[in-house]
Amino acid sequence: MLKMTGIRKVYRTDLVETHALDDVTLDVKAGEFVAVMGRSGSGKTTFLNVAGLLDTFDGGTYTLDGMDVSRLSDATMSRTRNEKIGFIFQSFNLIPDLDVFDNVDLPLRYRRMTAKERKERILSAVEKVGLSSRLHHLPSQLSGGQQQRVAIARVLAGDPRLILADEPTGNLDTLMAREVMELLLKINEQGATIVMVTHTPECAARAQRAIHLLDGRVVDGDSHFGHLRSVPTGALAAAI
Amino acid sequence: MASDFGPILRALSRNKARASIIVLEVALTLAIVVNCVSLIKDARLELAKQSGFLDEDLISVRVRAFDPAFNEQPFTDSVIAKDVEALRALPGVAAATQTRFRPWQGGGSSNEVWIAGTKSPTFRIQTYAADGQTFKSLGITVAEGRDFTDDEAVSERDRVRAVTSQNRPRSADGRATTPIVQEIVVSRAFAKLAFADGVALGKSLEDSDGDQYAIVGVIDRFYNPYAWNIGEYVMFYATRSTGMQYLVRAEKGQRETLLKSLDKALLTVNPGRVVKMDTIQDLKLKNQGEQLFVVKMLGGVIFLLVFVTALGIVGITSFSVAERTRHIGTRRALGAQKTDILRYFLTENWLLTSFGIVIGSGLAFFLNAALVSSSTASRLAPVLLLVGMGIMWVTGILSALAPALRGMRIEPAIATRNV
Amino acid sequence: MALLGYDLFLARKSLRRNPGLTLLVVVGIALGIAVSTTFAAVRHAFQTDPIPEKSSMLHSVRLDSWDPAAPHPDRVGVPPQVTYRDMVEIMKSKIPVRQSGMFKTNLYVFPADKAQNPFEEMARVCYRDFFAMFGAPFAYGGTWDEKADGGEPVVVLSEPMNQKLFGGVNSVGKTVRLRDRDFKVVGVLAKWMPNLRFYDLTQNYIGEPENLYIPFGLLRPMELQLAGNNDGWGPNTGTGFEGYLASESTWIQMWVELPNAQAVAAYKSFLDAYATEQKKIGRFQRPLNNKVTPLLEYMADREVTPRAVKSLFAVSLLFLAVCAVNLIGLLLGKFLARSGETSVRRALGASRKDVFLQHLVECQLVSAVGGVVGVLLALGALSGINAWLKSQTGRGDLFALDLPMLLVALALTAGAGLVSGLYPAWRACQLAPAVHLRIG
Repeated sequence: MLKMTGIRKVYRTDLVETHALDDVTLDVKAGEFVAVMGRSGSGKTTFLNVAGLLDTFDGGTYTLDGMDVSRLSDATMSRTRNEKIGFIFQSFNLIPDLDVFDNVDLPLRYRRMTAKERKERILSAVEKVGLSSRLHHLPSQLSGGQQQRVAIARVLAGDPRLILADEPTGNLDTLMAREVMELLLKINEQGATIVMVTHTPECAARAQRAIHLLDGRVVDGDSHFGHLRSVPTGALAAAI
Repeated sequence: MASDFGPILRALSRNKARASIIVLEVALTLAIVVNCVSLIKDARLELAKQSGFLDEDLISVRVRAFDPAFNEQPFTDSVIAKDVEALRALPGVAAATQTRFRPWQGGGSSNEVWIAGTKSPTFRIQTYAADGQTFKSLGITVAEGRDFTDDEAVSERDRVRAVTSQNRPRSADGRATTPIVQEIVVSRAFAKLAFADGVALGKSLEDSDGDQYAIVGVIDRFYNPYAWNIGEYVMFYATRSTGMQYLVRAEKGQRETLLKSLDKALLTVNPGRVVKMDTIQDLKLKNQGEQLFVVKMLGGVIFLLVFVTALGIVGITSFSVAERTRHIGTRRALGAQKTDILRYFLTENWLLTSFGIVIGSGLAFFLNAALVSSSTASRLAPVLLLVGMGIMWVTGILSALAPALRGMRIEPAIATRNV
Repeated sequence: MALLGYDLFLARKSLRRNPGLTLLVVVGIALGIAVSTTFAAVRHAFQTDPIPEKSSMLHSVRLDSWDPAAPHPDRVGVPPQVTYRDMVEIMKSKIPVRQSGMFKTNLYVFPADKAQNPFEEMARVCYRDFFAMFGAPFAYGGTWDEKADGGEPVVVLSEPMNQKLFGGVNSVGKTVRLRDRDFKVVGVLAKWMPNLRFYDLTQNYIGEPENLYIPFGLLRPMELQLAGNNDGWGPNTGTGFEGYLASESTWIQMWVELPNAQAVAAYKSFLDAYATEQKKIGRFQRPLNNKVTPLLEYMADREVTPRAVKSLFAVSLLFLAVCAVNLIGLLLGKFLARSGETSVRRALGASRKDVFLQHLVECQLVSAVGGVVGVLLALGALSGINAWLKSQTGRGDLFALDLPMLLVALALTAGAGLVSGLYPAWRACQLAPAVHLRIG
């Protein structure tokens, strides 16, 4: 599903050259739930940006869902993000001026779907995260856990091949964090591939395996938690 | 894309303050601009008025004598005759006459008259003496009826002087028992005002002295600004007036040359005098000074107003882009193309501008109604409003463009940056 | 108050952070101040009380001696000037402290210095009270005596005329030849430059005062020709100059100085009695409508402020309103765009009031800078308008930013800053300390 070989990302200023990613090689199979761990400054965010096609990289190859995405135009990158990737951010990144419905609608808008199809998807996704009664609430009227569930609904509505989660529980208290993790696990069980960046071992422990980043490199290989399950990907929304 | 309006409108409705400020600014600007343009149009209408004469070839000459010999009227009369001859003999002079009439002076002399045999309604009308050269000097011909002759002007002058040199016997109502009958030429506008059928030729007017004015000619066009709104009404009567004041018409292109030689020619006739010359174009320029001032000032205000509004839209949109950096990043992360972002901001701006235009149109008519009732402003022409709308739309789009382009370039990676 | 210095420091920093947008904000408000101050000053020139110490005592006199068939075509329906015969009669009243009928005429001046050419000059023909009535100050000598009012050849020179004829020295007692006779100089005015020729609002009142003043009594012996407006009606019953003086032509401006309300009432009934008397000999056939109007009211009556000036002033206020709305939008945008920083301040212990004041100080700083730039722009605009006016009327100093106008500019600036700042500052201080830390 996600295959990186020798990925390098260098930030240059006049004085210093920082290797944010240095020869990162990684292979995530379809249906896997992988945690990417590392301390702050280890290159986690850069990894996420590269993996999510939010940023370009300087060397290596990256294949996503069988497609070489190493050198794409901005427009193609945008389209690929829209169709194949779902993001869950630490700070939720809901648009505060839009209600739950319109927020979940966001990725679908850029897919030029008919209004009817969008509505069906939105309602079903919001129902899956248990927020049907809050359809026309604004983000500011929701708790942190509810906001993150809206963000997850936004992902589900888009039915992506790959879900990238960036510290999804980082801004939540323990109870809410657990709820969100359970939801992610459920989504993974129903076939979605998830790559989750985190620095808390408790969260990483819920994933099938963890990768550690240090100074932009992958160290000590993979840690496996539990065994691989092969579940057919796709049709995620229908499966849950 | 119409389907985009929904979420944009809903987002705007939750940001009422900022949205309503752009709407309000556009509305006020439109209302003010449209009304200023309307005022300019009124002023331009005034500025476009024509005297009916060949203004650009005309020179008014006023001579003041300090030589005591001029205290004797016969002496002055003889100098005037010689002056007119000298002027007509000058190369480059097409025609010249003695008259107190100066087009565009913004005043002159007027009288109260009525149709002979009635006593009302009364008409206020400008009156000026004329001779056989007056209309030629103004560069026009009498359209209906006849022109005067020089001989007629001189004999009329002598006749009227003889009658008025002594107290005239009067009846109880103050009218002279020996009324003078003079022949006059009137303007077409007066003919239409005074006579229901518009036919003036052959009819007579009368004034409070009981004197009669028989209309023998009509000129097509006349306009000389005058208090009391009688700029288009005039009667010329055949007489050589007193006073060393002349109207000279230069041949085409000769006016500037003449301005250099005129005074010398007159001083050769008699040196005991000072000569003042004004081109009629200068008089016109001075007369229209206030209107020109208004046109220039209003033009400046309109320009600055649109400029300030454009600045406002640029600024407000810039801040709004800056404030929404993270939202834009998120949208980009979720798959929005750069053009989607550009279109988002332009659509948002277009919606706000359009609301402003709708409200501004109402406001414009409201303001216009106030202007119409409090001054001489005319009704707002709908086409002006359309032009104003166009200006505001273009201003809105152009002003939003730079900030929107900046928003378009926001990186999607902004979305993963945590505060 | 202890925070004011810190607030100013923050405001300066905030303005420097984004010079482009700061420039935008400042230009926006500066243009508003410039345009409104400019047209306020133009309007001010026409509306200033020209003689505040006694404008309430100076009264213009108007008599309705007009045609019974139709009212005078002026807006108020009464001729703005009086006939010669009426002036002579009402000048006999002892009620006014001072009074003068007057008109203007063109005279030839023959300088004593033969090297100078004769030149034509506008002279005011008036009574000896003119100078004290209208506050014209003397540098040398004074007005002529009562006997001279009857028609002696004496003259009062303006300061520029004395400069031109006598090089500015005390010329009292010297003679100057006007038209065909020698005039004795009895007085020389000091510099006198009221905004408008307020003592004669019948025409061309934007201009400098006349340079020559001669007694009214010279009208007959010199057969002085009027150089002003003359509205007449009715038959010319006489002939020649005497016929003109006896006619119903109105061409004399009549002014009286009445110290109090009793005097005004007494004078008014004197005029009405005079008009009633005249009715008996067939004159004044219209309803009694004599007007004794104090100066400022008379100025409004005559519509001294050109309509164009009034509308431009109104437009400029609307313009300022747009600029203020503009400023609200820009400040609001600016404050909300940095709501993160404000939330941090709130979290670190700044109270609502602190945040509110901090933002208000920034608004005031912006509008103060805008105000200074605006006043400079207004000065430029006014000098342009003055130059244009000079080409039109010869008067090039009518419009100026005097103290009252600077105060107006100051008030407009502070007002715009305050009005435009209140809402954005209020919005800024409503930001909660925590929310923005979390959502980012």
